[in-house]
Amino acid sequence: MAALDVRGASAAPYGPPLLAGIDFSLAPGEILSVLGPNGAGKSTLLHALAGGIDTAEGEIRLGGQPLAQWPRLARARALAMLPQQSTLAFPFRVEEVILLGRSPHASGAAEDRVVLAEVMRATDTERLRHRLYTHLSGGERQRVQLARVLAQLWRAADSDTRVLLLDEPTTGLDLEHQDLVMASLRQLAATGCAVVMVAHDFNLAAAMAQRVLVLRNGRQVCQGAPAEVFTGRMFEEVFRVQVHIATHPLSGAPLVVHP
Amino acid sequence: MIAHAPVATRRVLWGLSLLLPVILVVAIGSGAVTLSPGEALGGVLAWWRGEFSQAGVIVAQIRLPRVLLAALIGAILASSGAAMQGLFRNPLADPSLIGVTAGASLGASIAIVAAGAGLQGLSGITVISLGAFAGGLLAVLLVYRLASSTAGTSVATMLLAGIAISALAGAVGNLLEFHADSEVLRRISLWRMGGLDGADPTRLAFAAAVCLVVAGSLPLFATPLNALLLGESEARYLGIDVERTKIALVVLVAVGVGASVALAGTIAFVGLVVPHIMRLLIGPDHRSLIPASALAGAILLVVADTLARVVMAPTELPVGIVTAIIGVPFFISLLRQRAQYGMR
Repeated sequence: MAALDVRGASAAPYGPPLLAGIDFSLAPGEILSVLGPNGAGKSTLLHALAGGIDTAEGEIRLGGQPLAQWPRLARARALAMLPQQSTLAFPFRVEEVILLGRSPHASGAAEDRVVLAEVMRATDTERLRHRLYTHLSGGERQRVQLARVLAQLWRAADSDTRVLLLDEPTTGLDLEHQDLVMASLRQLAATGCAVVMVAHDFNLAAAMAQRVLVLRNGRQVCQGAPAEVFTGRMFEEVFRVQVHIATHPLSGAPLVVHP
Repeated sequence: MIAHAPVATRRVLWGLSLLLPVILVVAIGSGAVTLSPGEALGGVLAWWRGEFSQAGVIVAQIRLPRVLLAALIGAILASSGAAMQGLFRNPLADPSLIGVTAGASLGASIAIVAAGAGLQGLSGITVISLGAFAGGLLAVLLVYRLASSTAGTSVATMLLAGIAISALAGAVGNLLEFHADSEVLRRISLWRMGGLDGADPTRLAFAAAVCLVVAGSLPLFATPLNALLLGESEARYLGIDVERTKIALVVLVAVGVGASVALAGTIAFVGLVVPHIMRLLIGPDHRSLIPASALAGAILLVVADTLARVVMAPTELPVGIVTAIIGVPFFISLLRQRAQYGMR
């Protein structure tokens, strides 16, 4: 059964339609990258998938059940979302912020400590553990927020279906931490958690994702494997740039070269 | 730097829990007739056993109700303030922001003017209290309606609507005063300065019931409030019922602050500053912040009211003046070190 199944979904939360004709399906453990120019509706799509924006037409199913029918807490155990910006302005300690990700669970303090230790390792936030969130740099905050949503979905035992939605998870991360975070996401996907990731870096998307979805003006232009979707014509039509598509010498994934 | 580690949190909570009874006993002993802690306790025991003693009468009939009323109202105001600052995600939010204080003041003014010179003694105080309580709840209801739409309740609009409704209530109140004679005017302005001198068993029982409901229920919302600090949609994605949380918090705070204004007039500053100080000491986790604020609010108001009684005895100062004079220097000294506590 698909972890996430979207059929002809559209959304118009403020009147004019912001999303239309979204249609894809994601299996457990798959990683999907959402690409598109500025204002294409990538973040709106993530909020719709998370249930924060209601769909006007079509349907979104999470683990085979319509999203709106999920009970609140069960949904929070199955679905987590990392927004693009976080507005936390109160001086929580880093571990307190990460443990907020365990608040929908009733797995007990001891188990939560185990998850905390694992997600801190996965995001290299152990050293920050007792620091105040408000004292951190942008990249450090990003890693802490990432650890929080990882903690929400870390254990396969917590929910049969798990879907992680990430809005530009690598923003502000240096290359070392970018690598670490991507490895951690692959590790999470390997345990059966589906991942939807809005990305700006085409090559990162191609390297990470089995599937790519391209949005433009709120409409789904195409979706499929990176090698099918990444064509010179698509980049010209959607992103209005001329690129050269090569093959990554090591992984064999498509490599987008923008002169 | 390790700020507000769990150990420090526990130490602060224990310290406040131990300090409160000591402060209560000292406050009961202070006044026109000074009683030692032993005499004060002896008086309470004697009164409890039905024996007559001068200390027993002073303590049981005058000071104990008043000191307990101060503690209850301080606890209500400070825990309400902690909840409002969390809900508005603003450490400078005050429980009066949602219009309850201004509405209650207007309600009380209308009661004073309507009853005119007929207001005497206890029944007068009750009429004013009822007017204040009703006025506070009505104002909050109006603010809440203004900020709600089909898309839910906007916390930012609620803040602006609260300012607007407060301004309107203030203007109507001023209009009433403009047409009032000097006796009514004096009553209104005295009431407004706040005071705990009307303490009696009925009011004490009312305050205790409200405190039990408000300070007892607010900690149930500690986890939703913690999640709300991340942002409303983040809280929703963590499985929090955000709309229900907002309604419940607004109702609890409206009842708590409405009751406290009805019983003791407007006592500014406690609801704003006590939670802020506690947050600087133990951090923003509402699971400990709300109880710590309740305890510290009780302590601050008991100390302030005791000073108000003894500083210029036999004249009493309005307690709001004293809360400001004690609290402000402490607050400013913390503000000067705010970067160290992670607040901007």
